[in-house]
Amino acid sequence: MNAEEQSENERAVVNTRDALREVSITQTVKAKDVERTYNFDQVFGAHATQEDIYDDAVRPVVEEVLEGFNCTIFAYGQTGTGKTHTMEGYHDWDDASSSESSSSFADAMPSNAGVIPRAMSHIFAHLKAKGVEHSVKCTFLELYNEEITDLLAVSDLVEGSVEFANAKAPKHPLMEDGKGGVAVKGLEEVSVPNPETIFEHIRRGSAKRRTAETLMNKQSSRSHSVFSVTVHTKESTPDGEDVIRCGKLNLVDLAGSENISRSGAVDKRAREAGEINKSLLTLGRVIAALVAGVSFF
Amino acid sequence: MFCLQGGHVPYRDSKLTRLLRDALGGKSKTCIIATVSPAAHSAEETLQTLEYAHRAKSIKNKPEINARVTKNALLKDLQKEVERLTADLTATREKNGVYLSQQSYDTQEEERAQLKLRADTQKSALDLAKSELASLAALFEDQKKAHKALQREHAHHAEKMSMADAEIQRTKAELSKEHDARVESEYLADEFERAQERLRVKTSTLGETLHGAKDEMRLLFGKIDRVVDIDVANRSVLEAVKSDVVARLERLEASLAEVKTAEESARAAAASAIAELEGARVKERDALVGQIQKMRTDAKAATSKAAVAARAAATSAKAAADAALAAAETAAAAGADCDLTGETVDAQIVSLLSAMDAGRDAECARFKSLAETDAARSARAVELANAQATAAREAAVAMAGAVEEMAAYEVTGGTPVIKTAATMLATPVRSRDVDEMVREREATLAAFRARVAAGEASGSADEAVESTPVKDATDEDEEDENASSSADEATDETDEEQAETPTPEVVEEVKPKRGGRAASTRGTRGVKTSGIPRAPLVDKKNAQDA
Repeated sequence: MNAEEQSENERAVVNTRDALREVSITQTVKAKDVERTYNFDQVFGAHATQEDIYDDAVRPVVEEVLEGFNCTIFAYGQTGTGKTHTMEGYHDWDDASSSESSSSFADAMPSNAGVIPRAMSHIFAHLKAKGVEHSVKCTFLELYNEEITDLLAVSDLVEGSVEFANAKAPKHPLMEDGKGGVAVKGLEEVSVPNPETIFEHIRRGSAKRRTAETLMNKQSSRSHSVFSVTVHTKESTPDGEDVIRCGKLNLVDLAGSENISRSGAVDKRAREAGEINKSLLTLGRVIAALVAGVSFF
Repeated sequence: MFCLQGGHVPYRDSKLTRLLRDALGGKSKTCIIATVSPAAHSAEETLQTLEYAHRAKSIKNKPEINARVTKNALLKDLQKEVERLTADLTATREKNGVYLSQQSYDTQEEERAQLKLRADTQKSALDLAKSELASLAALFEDQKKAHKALQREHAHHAEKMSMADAEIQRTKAELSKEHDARVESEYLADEFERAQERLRVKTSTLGETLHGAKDEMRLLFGKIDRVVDIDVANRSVLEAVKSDVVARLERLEASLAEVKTAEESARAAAASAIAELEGARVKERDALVGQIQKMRTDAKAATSKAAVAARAAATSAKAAADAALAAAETAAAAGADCDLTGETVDAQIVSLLSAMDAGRDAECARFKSLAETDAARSARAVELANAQATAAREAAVAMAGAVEEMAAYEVTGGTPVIKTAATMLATPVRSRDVDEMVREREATLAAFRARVAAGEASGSADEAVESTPVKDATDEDEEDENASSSADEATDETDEEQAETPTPEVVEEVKPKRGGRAASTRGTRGVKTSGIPRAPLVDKKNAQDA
């Protein structure tokens, strides 16, 4: 609960039972409390820390990426419920990390750091522990009103100048890469030699992210952001040949799922919400179609 | 395991889903972190979020480890790419404009030249293609027209086709009907064949029975022929019997006439004898009376003489006289001796009287014998007549029997024969006539006998009596004649009936039955005619007996 909610003296209606992996929501329908319960793989209560979430939910995923799988983590939810917080965390650790030595970074991870920095430090720690030859590349893009913006593009443009960037930013059309995948044309792919570099990139990219104040949240992110990390590791086969293992991790911070009227967006913002919702609706439809496909199976 | 089972997943509707396609139902491992607010006023959104996440939870991805690439190949590719890109990049960055590395520029120039060349060639090709296109357009127009025509034709054909289809449909229906009919007819034919077979068998059996019937018929015809023959023979026998009877009757009549004439002559003789006798007796009596008178006178004279002479001996004389008278009375018959004494006269008279009596007795005996002979003769005649009648009756009975027999033989087609038998049975009228006749004859004979007896009783009454039988006899004859003639007529009639009607009828009755085989059967009949009739023998015997 944020300060505003607390100040409005709101009643909590969601109960989480972490051990039972279920979430129940109490609704008052016709002066009667109805409780609905949903079961998930992992449930984290209001008091769970970033570390708890990472260790329980993300760490196994990241380890599978290092095994060679392609993995994706979505953050989905109403605006203001902490998606960006979960994915990125507060950026006040930037200063702390810069002041600290790189070697001790993994251990001295700030408590409010999100999934992305933790995953990066995890990957590097793992690679370092294994001691294999490796290369880590990452892309960071933003999807806003069905337009892709490269958050890592080398640009001398004034950072934070939203309008300018919006006007001048080159378009990045999506292209099929001929192997069934989708590639973004002209997207900057940055090699990351160590975690510090990536933090730098993240900080730069995040700064580029458009955040516009809405009624709901001052830091509301109305664009989707996709942070991708590709990890190549070299392995030696028994017959002496070197083989490259490739794993990719997508960390997706979706825009707020709230509806337009409640967000109070008007004019351009309303259009934004529409576009945001277009991607979200399509995502929902895709999920629904897949679920239907499963149910038919 | 997840499988896109034909369902359309709208990945392409948004860039987000296009980018993350692999994460949704693809080969990636995917994790969704749903964030919710516990605040009551966002409960609805929270609920939606939870619902959304929960739904996504059921998606099953199919994670696969990315294919491992050999390091060298990858490195080469990557290095080339990186070099080119970094060259471009640095150029761009430094000059703040379009800047290419010399190598890139050269290659691009080269490409451009090539492209220009290609463009020229393509242009010429285009011109060519244009001209071709024009010609093709013309051709296309032609084709279009042709196509239209063809379309029209096609429509026409389609119409025709539909009609033909309908026709085919109709034909099919008809065919099926025909087929049904054929099956039916086949079935019927089969049935018919079987029925024919049955009929054939039946016909053969019938033929056999017919054959048997024919044989039987032949036998029956033989029988009929025999019966007809018998009938003919019977008739001839009957005729013979009849003629015999008639002859016998004639003979009988003749004999009866003879008898009558003899009787008449006898009667006449008797009458004359009686008349003679009467005359003689009267004469004798007259003579006797005269003698007696003479004698009386003589006696008177004698007496008177004697009285005178011998009155003493008067008494004796008187007695003598009485004696003489007695003698005269007895000798009256004896004669004319007037000299005879009274006793002799008397004796003579007595003898005369006795002689007369004797003569009369003899006469009577003769009469009697005559009558007796007559009676015997009439009895014989009666007997004969009776015998004849019985014979006739027997013959009639035999004939009736024969007729019955015939009827018995002709059970099948013998109504006319039965008729014949009936007509023949009607003939007993004749025998009845004969009976009547015989009875009449007997009555007349009895009357005659009575009369004779009466005549015998009184001699004087004889004359009066004798005239009647003659008259009766004539009546009798007439009656006999009438009877016989009527009988003859009756027989003639029956003969005629028998001769005319029955035989042709039999033939006619038989003829249509035989049909075409009439000739052959007739032939057999002709053969059979020679067969020996059985019944006529008996009849003949009867006739002989009769």
